[in-house]
Amino acid sequence: MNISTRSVDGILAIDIEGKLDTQTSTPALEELLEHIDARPDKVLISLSSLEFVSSAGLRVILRVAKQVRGYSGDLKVSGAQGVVKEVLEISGFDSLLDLYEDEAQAVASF
Amino acid sequence: MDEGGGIIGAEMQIQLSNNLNELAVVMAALEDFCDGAGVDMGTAQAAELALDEFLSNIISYSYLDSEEHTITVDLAVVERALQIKISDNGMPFNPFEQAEPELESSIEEREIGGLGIHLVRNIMDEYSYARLDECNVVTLSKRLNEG
Repeated sequence: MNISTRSVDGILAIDIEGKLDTQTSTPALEELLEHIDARPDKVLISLSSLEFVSSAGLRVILRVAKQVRGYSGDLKVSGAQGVVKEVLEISGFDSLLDLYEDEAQAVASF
Repeated sequence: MDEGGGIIGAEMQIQLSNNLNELAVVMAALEDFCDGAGVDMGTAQAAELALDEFLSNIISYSYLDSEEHTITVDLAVVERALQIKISDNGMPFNPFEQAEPELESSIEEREIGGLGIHLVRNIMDEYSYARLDECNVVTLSKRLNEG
């Protein structure tokens, strides 16, 4: 698991790569909360390089989304594919989070 | 070899202690097994999800004491399906009798408990539970994707 950030049109884009599972969820959450500590208005979580997610990883994404909504920021999620997309759909996250197929759509939606 | 169909009869047993740090070893063994047995990536990822969810639940909640316990995972390719059996000697717990999570509730009021079991139920083709010889035995099966 590796987390990195970029700035795209004034949006804080956070890339999560690799696996978000029981083993990586705790360090991932700490790192993600640090990235949004300064309360950025617009946050995009890009999952295009995420290979695997379990419910522990979903909890991390949900926790970050709650945090951003808690300070009235806007959070979108883009790029889920394969098993990650399937897990998001089965868990009903498509109705809880703003999910976009690709990053351009997500960026345009802010 | 029958490409994409898996090697019928391939088997592996993995034993781990009730420590979350053991998951890395289990996942590496699963990957080796799937590579060697010709299990396709989608099925291997479903198995990884099932092991992550069930083993983390067992390790975190199944034992009332602080002793070391052994959990056994059996993997096998049987009739073009990957079969996973997870056995633990923790307190009796049938994961498939738990209530389905509230998937429709809003993000603010959503309960996460039960989500892992919900995922496994939906991603695997078959699942069952038995209490045998004072052990919880969960059996899961997923048909291989013919490549």
